[in-house]
Amino acid sequence: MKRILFFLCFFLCSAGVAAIETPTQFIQNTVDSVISVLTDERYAAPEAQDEKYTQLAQIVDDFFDAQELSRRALGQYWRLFTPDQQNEFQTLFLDLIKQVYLKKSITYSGEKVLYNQEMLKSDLLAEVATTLIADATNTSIIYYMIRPTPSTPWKVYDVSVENVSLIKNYRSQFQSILQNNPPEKLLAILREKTNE
Amino acid sequence: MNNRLLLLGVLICTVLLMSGCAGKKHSSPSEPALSTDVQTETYEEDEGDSQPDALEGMNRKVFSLNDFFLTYAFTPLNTVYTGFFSPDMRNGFSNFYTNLTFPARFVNALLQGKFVKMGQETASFALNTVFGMGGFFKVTRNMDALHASPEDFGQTLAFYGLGHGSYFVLPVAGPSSLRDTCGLLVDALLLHPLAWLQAGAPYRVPMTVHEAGNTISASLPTYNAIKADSFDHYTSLKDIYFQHRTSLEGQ
Repeated sequence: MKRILFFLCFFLCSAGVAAIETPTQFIQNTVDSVISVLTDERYAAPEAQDEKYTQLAQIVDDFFDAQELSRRALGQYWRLFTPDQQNEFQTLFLDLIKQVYLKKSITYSGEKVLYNQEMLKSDLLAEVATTLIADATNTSIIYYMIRPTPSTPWKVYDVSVENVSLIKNYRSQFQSILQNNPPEKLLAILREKTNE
Repeated sequence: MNNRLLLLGVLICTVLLMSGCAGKKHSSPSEPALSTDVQTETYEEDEGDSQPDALEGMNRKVFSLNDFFLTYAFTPLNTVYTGFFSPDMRNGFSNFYTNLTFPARFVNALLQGKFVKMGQETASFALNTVFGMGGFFKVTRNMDALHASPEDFGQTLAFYGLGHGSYFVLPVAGPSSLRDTCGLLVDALLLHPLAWLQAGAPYRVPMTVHEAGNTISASLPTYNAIKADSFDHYTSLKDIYFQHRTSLEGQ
């Protein structure tokens, strides 16, 4: 009986652990799904491009943490936004980041991704360092991840390419806009940008 | 030799040394990637202090001129250039010039006491020169043990505590800072093998122009992508420049 209980426990525990992806698994699964769509023959035809884009958008839907992205991108200006403006900003900015990410993905031409290192900063923060190997160059890409509790899935809040953080870069631009303009102006620019 | 240019470089450096030291703040900016206290670090941080831009008015003008030059003069030339030389060839040129500027990386690693890096640079230079047809092929590309982040005189000045002074947009060459411009002058005039050639040497000017053109050609797609994705192109590039330099200084 004891032995059965032990096995049961062991089984349940390992199942529990397996249910939540490690940071590297999370990145790898998403990247693999994106690549599988990009290399799928069914989406190669010109008339299948819209369908391909929809598929890709679905995959990256749960990839980014909209609130974390937005708070970091706005920095001290976050507090100047009303709750409604904050919500709208989150939606628009997430759209923009997804667009940027997908635009880069679409240019995929057989590059390989190496998963070099995973760093757990705490139960709730992690980094995964990867290298994108193209024909001529190797590019270092680091994904920064966060989760609200240890039992929730990871989400990405920043990506740095060759040690240049995407969110810090947007923050510097938003700061330069918000120094002389009200939040509504930034939202208007974002609306225009994401509708392009 | 370019005595006058050298003198100018030394002069700017002296002025900077006297006035610009105040710019250095050591709140561990070297590790943008490895922040431990995320909550406080990320939400309230203001880039203004670490990215001084006292010359913004002039910088923006030069920046617009550069953008105009890249779009209307360089891009058409580049279309011809990239049509003529395959990506492999252009990448080979880039490898060749990078290999050629080994002395600057070696001397600057020495000046900062980075002895491991000196070894890595020397080994890479030897292998790429001998087995890569004078550096045209980068045979050390996948030898991780030999990879070192490149050193330059701007980083050496940073190592000894000199701040950027101010962001400074160079005509044609683009983003730089007052300090890194001094560094660039030292590297280009004292430590670049092409500068060691006699002033009248036939290959000197064409090779320098080709090196610059090939470099700009390689970065043009990235430049255009950044331009398309940004809200404030000038600020975006300035931030990328400072983030990139900070990361190099930390390595």
